[in-house]
Formats: sequence, structure tokens, C-alpha cells
Amino acid sequence: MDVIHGLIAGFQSIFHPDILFYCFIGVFVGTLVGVLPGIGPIGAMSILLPSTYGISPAASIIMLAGIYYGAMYGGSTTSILVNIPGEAASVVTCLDGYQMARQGRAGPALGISAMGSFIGGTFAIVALMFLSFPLADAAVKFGAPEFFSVMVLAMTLLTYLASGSTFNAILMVLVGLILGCVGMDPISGIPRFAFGSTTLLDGVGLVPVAMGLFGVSEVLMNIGAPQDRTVLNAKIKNLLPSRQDWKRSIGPIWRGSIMGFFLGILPGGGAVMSTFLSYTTEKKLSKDPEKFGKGAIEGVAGPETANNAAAGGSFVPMMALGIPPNAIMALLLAALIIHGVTPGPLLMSQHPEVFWGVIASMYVGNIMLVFLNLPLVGLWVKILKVPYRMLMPLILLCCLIGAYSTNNNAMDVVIMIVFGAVGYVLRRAGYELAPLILALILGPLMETNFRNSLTLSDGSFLIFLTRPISATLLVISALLLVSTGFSAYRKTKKRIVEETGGAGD
Amino acid sequence: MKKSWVYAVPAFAAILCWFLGSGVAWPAEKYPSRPVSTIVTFAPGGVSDLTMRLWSRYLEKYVGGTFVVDHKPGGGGVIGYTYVANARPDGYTLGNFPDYFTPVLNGTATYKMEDLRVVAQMVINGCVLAVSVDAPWKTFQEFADYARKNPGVKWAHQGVGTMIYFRTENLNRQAGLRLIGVPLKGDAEIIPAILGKHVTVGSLSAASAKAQAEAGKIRILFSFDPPKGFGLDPSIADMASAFPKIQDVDVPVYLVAPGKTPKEITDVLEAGLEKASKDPEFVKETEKINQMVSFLPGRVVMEQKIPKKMAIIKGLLEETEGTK
Repeated sequence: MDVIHGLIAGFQSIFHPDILFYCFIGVFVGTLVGVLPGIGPIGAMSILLPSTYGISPAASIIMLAGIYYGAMYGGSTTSILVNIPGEAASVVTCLDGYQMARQGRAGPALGISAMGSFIGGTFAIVALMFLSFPLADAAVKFGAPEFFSVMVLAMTLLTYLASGSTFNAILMVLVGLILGCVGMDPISGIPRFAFGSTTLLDGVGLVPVAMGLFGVSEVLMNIGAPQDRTVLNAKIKNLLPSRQDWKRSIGPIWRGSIMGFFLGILPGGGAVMSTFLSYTTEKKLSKDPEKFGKGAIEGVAGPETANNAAAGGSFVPMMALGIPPNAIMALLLAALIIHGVTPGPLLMSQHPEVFWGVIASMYVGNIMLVFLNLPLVGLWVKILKVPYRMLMPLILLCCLIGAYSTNNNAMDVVIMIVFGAVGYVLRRAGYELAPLILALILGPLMETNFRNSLTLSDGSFLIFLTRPISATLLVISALLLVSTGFSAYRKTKKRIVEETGGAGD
Repeated sequence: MKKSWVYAVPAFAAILCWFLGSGVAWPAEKYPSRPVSTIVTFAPGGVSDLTMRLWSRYLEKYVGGTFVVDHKPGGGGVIGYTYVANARPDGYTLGNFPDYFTPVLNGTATYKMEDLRVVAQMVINGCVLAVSVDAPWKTFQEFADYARKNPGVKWAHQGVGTMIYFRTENLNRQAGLRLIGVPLKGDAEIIPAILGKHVTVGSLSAASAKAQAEAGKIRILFSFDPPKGFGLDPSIADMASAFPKIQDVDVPVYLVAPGKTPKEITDVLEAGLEKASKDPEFVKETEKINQMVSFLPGRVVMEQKIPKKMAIIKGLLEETEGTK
């Protein structure tokens, strides 16, 4: 298939006022939904799905896709401004983005986030254009053992998330793993820790827990201790990132793009994991990792790029094979089916207007989003001036609506409030919550893939080492662990030498 | 004082009447006079969602009124089933359910069988067994022979407790195929598992399999239901031709109402559904989402089909207890 011809045809097909209009609606709604904490793209997409009945398949997919990657742009706004993630993929942006805002640098944070999102999104589209089929074929080679090894790799990087005590981070990881056990056993279906509740049969739910731990607890923290707002009330100059910021961010942006795109292709992995991995990678590669957690712009640039690249990457299995890697893509699949387009490996040849139309629209959509987000930076920064006694109740309201709207289940709201209290207590005690969330996501995935791997191998543990991809990933994880241990040993040795003035040893 | 007291009585009476009247469907009123909420027990975008949206359009055509789709996913469907079981039996809350008796059999149900009543069965979902296109077996017979000689062939399914699982496990045991199941999360994980040859065979919906087979990526070896009904190659082996003696369970979708819903209302719905099932447009659109129209009146389902299926599934559950 001639890529350039296809792309030109795609652009020709979308440059009609009505299609561009739908594209704009999609990205606009997406940004809005991303900014509002709690309410995620799935909710918006399912509400708008019936309104696509009367329009062409390409236009409806363009609109719904716009909601998805638009939400990835908007999610960072509240993360940076008020330390409350717009959705799970923006949790990591809170870590450094909020600190930057407190130092009066909200503008650069928002700016680099928008630009990084644009670069990540565009990179993903280009890769999607040229590489979707070979990549999809390669992604299919990922079976349970390979997924398990990817998770192991992610776990070894977990403790890098913490800027404080490693011991506390490990404790939070363990809590997250235990929380991940709540629900039905993935193999036998026996309820675990459900205490007879049907809601808990599906586990505690990532959205209520994330909104509670980060959103509700943040509101509670602000009730307890009045915020020192003198820094924020000072004139906020430099709404755009400086040259220095750009220099420091270019590396994270490129790495985030690549990491995000490839992780987005894998089912289940997706945007959230890519943000965590980008953050921990940047911290590991940085010359002064201590700056992370205190307002390092790399900690914003990398993850924000990664989540947009992951959104683009998740289109690969959908477009090339007709297999949705996550719930959002499943919705898009349903939309295609409703319009009589059967997604599958033959999508590109049977419905090229859908395939190329969507790709062309993603370019246009990303440009629209940059123009939507960058000029609005000045407006968003003004939100910081709204007194907290007005802002926080609004945020709480959004979180409550968001927690309910995921599953129309009131129990989710209760879970969110409970975890809000838990998050408050943990934060006051000095624990960090990001490792908990990541462990909550990774734990069940690791368990399912581990047990399925053993079923496939009839009980032999060698399956993880005899399959090349899995073995490579495990070796990298082992090397990472060793290097961490080694550098910790060297650091402690250096400290001992310094403290004892060289007389010890 | 007297004046205001005089006004209070009719005001009170009016408010009281409004409260009483708001929830009740007066017999003289034509049903449905308010939007009817139909509960789907899976997340939006899934097959159930598409199915119910389709049915809603035809229910509106043949019964009138407005039918709205609502989602209550979770707990393997139990949350949605419980919601409808506890809803007011006035015909304004319905459910689009698959077989809902499995939680009752394995003890996780928070409702009883008599709390729900099937209005009608409308469609059935096709299930097939498929292997990767470069697998050595061209027919199901070849595969079955291989499986019997090499116990422990891995097959992927959508999870213990799903009807597709029971159906295939039923075949597995009765035909002596000695397959070992690997639970995955839906067709979206089963297809890559087949394509990447992580499992040898997969049990998945006809809809997903068809798209992949047409692209030449997988080979459908076996269809539980007659293959022609799902637009598959008629030469594919099916249950009726290959294993006529095995009692099969199918994967239907029902419209369900709370148990105590008045018969007048469910009769209206059932009649509407029956007309829809004969409408050629409906049949075409159902085929588009790869299901097969198969109408059964509610009474037949409740009195004959469900008890029979429950007995089979119960037997299977007891047999699989030992392998957990």
C-alpha cells in the first residue's frame, strides 16, 4: 500500500468543513474531559456514541478518536495546577508539575506539557502510518510470559518513583499489590477479599482509587493546612518554557515518545504504564536525580509526551488487526461495527477512507490541540488565583461525578471517599502514593500473566527464559537491579568514608 | 388563618397525588408512557451495548415509547442482574442479559431466580473454535484426533463461568479432547494468543473469528451452532453434525424483566419483540453485528430451556470443582 498516496487521499477526504468540525468537537470535548478530574474519555465517548449514528464512519471515528487523544492533552492541566490528576495517565505529572506550579513556573510546565504532547502524538501518527502492520505482527508475539517480563521490568523501576525513603516506597508497593488482590481470582473466579460485595468482585477500581488517593486527599490536605499562596500570587512571568527548559526537555520528549508508542501497542499496558516508565527512566538517566519530585521539568515533559504517544500507539493493533488493546479502543471498535465497517486485518484494504481518514485527522487534531492548549496556558494559570475555598469544592464535585460515571455504581464513590481518607493519612505520615497506584495496576496483570505462563508451560518455570523476548527483558531487569544495588552500595560506602573522615574502612 | 388553611388542603392533596402517580403506571395509561430503562451488564462499546441499542430502535418501532440503554457493569454481570431483580416491577426497568443463572449456581448471586423473568429470547451468539492459519489441522476431525493422542493441548477462553467456557468445556469432556484451558480477558486477548501461537486453539465469538478468518489469519475449525447462520463456510464442522449426541448449551441473549412485572406489560413487549424478529431489516442488522436471530417466547425459555441448561451447567460445575 503506497503510504504517501494513501495519506494524500486521507487528507483530501477530511478537508471538508463538516469532518473538520467533528474533529474539532472531538478534540475540544476531549480536552475538557481530560481537564476535569474524574471524568475520563470513556464516559464522554459512550455518551457521544449515539450521536454518531447519522454521520459517516470516518467522521464518527475521527470525532471519538479526537476525544481520546484530546483527553491526554488536557489531563495534565489540573495535575500541574492543583496536584489532582485529570485521569490515571496524568498521575505522574502531579509529582513534578505541581512543584513547578508552586515555584511560580506553572506556565512553563503547562507549555512544555502541551508541546510534548504534540510531539509525542505526531511521532505516534508517523510511526502508525509506516509501521502499523509489522508492529502489529510483532506485538502478537507477546504472550503471557513476555507480558510478565515487561511487568517485572516495570517493577524494578518502581522504587525510582519515590523521591523520599525507598523503604517507604516499597511499603506502598506492597500495599498496592495487596489491594490488587481484591476481586475475583483471575483463573478460578473465586472471590478474594470481596467481603460479599458484588462491586468488590471486580477489584477496587483504578479510577476511584486514583481519584481518592490524589484528588480527594488533596482537597482534605488543603482543608487542614491553609496553603501558602504568596508565591503563586506573585506575578507569573514567562508563561512559556525558556530555552533552558527546552534543552532539558528534548531528551525526555524523544525517549517518552518512543517508550509511550511501543507500550501503547501492548494490550493492557498503555498510557498509564508508559508515564510511570518515562518518569523513572528520566530520573535514572538524569545527572541530578534529587531534583525529581521538586520541580524538574523532565518529570513533566517525559510522561506527558509518553501518554500521548501511547494513545497513538494503541491505534496500531486496532487498525492493523482489529484487536482493541484497551477499553477505549473497544469503544471505537463498536462504533465502527455500528457503521457497518468490520475492523480487522482487512480494514486498510476494504475501507481505506476510514484508515487514512483517521490518520490524516490525527495530524489535524493534534495541531488543533496545540492551538487550543498553548494560548489557554495564560487562562489556566489564572485558575491558581481562584481562592481554594471555591476551587476545592468544585474539584471534589468533579471527582464524585467521575467516580460514579465510570460504572454508574454508587459503591465506587464510597471507595473513592475511603481512599481519600487513606490518602490523606498516608500523605501526612510522609508516604508517597505513586508507587501504590502503579503496584495496583501491575499486580493483577503480573499475577494473571505469571499463572497463565505456567499453565502454558505445564508448570515449568523455564518458559520465561526459553522464550527470547521474555528472557531479554528479564536479563535487563536483573541488570537494573544489580546496578541499583551497586550504586546504592557505592553511595553508602562514600557516605561512610565522608562521615568517618576516611579513618574507617 | 382560616383562608390559608383552606388552601393548604387542596395543595396537599395535589402534592400527594403527584407523589402517588409519578411511579405508578395506571392501567388505563398505555405502556410505555415514560422512557424505559434497559440495563446492559457490560461496559459501553461491547457487544451487549450494540445489541441493546439495536433492539431499542425496534422496540420503539413496534411497542412505542422510548427505550434508553443504561450500563451497570461489574461482578460478572451480577450487579446488573441484581439491579433489575430489585427494580420496581412496572415494566420501566428491563435488562438485556445473557444466561443469568450461573451466579445462582455458584453462589455469588445476590438475587433469586424468581426475582427475574425472561420476556423473550431474541438472538444467539455464535461460538467457534479456531487455530492459527498455519496450524497442521485442516478439519476439526484431524485436530480432535491429535488432541486425544496428545493430552494437554492448550485452549484459550474468556474465563471460567462464561457460557462460552462451559460450552467448550462440555465438548472437551464429552468428546474426550483432554484440552487444558487458559483464561484470558475476552476476544481481544484470545485472538493475539491464537495468532502468536501462545495457545493452540481458542474458543471465541463467531463475530471476531470471522473478521480474522476472512483476512486469512486464523482458521475456524468448528462452529458450535450451524455455520450458515453466522455467515461462515458451511463445510465447517458443527455440533449437530459432529457430535449429535452431546447436549449443547447455546449463548443466547434475552430481554428480562423483574419477576413480578404484570403479564400485560411483558405480553406487549414479547409481541413487539416477536414482530421485530420477523422484520427483515432487524435480521439484517443483527447479522451485521454477527448474531443470529432466534426468537423464543418467554414462557418456553423459563419453563423448559433455563431449567434444562441449569441442570447441565450444574453438572459441569460439580465436575470442574475437582480441577480448581
